[in-house]
Amino acid sequence: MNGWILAATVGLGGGGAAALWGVTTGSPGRRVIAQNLTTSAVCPALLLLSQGYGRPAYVDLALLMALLGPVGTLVFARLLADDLADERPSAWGLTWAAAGLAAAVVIALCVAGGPGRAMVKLLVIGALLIGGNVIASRALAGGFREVRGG
Amino acid sequence: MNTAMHVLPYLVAVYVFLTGCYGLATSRNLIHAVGCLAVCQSATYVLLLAVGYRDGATAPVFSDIEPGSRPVVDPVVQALTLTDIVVGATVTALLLALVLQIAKRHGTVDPDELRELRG
Amino acid sequence: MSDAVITVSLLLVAGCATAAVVQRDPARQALVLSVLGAVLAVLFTVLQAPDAGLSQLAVGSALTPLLIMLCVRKVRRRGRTKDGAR
Repeated sequence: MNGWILAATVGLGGGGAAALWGVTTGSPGRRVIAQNLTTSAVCPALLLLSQGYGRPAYVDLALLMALLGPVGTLVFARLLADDLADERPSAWGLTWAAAGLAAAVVIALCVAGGPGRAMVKLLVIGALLIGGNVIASRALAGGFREVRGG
Repeated sequence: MNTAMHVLPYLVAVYVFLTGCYGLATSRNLIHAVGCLAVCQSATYVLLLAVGYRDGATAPVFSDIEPGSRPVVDPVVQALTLTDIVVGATVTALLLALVLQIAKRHGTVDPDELRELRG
Repeated sequence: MSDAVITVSLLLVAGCATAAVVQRDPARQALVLSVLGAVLAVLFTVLQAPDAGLSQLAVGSALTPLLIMLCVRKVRRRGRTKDGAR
């Protein structure tokens, strides 16, 4: 069991349990935030797993998750807008903490892997993760104003 | 300890399947029932991949390693799982369309209030 | 060796599945199903099936919740217009 897989296990255990607890209890606002943070908790774990198993091909999963996770959150933000209308859920502390985690994992993997195409891919995934997380959080906190008639 | 590790994936698959079946049987909302069916289908994915897994082996994808350099897990069950996932999505879409039609014709999505199948 | 990560993923899947069944409201269940999709993708990666994980991510984290949410909205709107027209 090498250190990367151990770190991924810890990240999965903590992040997954927290996301599951957040998505099953509380107001709709909190549940949508927990669903948003699932992406940010699970994607770094996937990156660590790809390094731990020694398979650079697994990084594609993290890429797809960084792309589709915010899409899922935007779907919920749009279609649950009526339920979220009174709340404006926002958790900027958690968002920035998740961004910090993503940055730390990407930097650690870039240092371990060394320069090359793989490093560019990792940097793209990190940018997508952080950017997608911020965009989805903005959408949740700002609300969709034009939804009333749609 | 090792036997528990060998048996755990199958136990989880059975548990998830039974949980989905319980939800399907006791559901009061047809859309919730479709979600429980999706849970049942995910149990079959777990079972298939547990059958094909080998300790210490890696994925049968050779874009980044040499074929034959490392032991690989069974690729056939992975193909079955891929097919299963796509079929599951299609079935979910079809069932949701049927639920919409039921809501249009009978005005309710509560299975207890649908009288057509009553003997 | 990597038994711990397999155990953690399996337990997460079991917990998510239980939560998905216990949530009786379909809109909230769609949220849990999205999390279940992501956790299943991780389990597939850990069981060395990244291709199945890619499909599961695409289907489970965006597609199935989108379908369920659209259906919920249509059924709700139909119920609302019927009450309004009465």
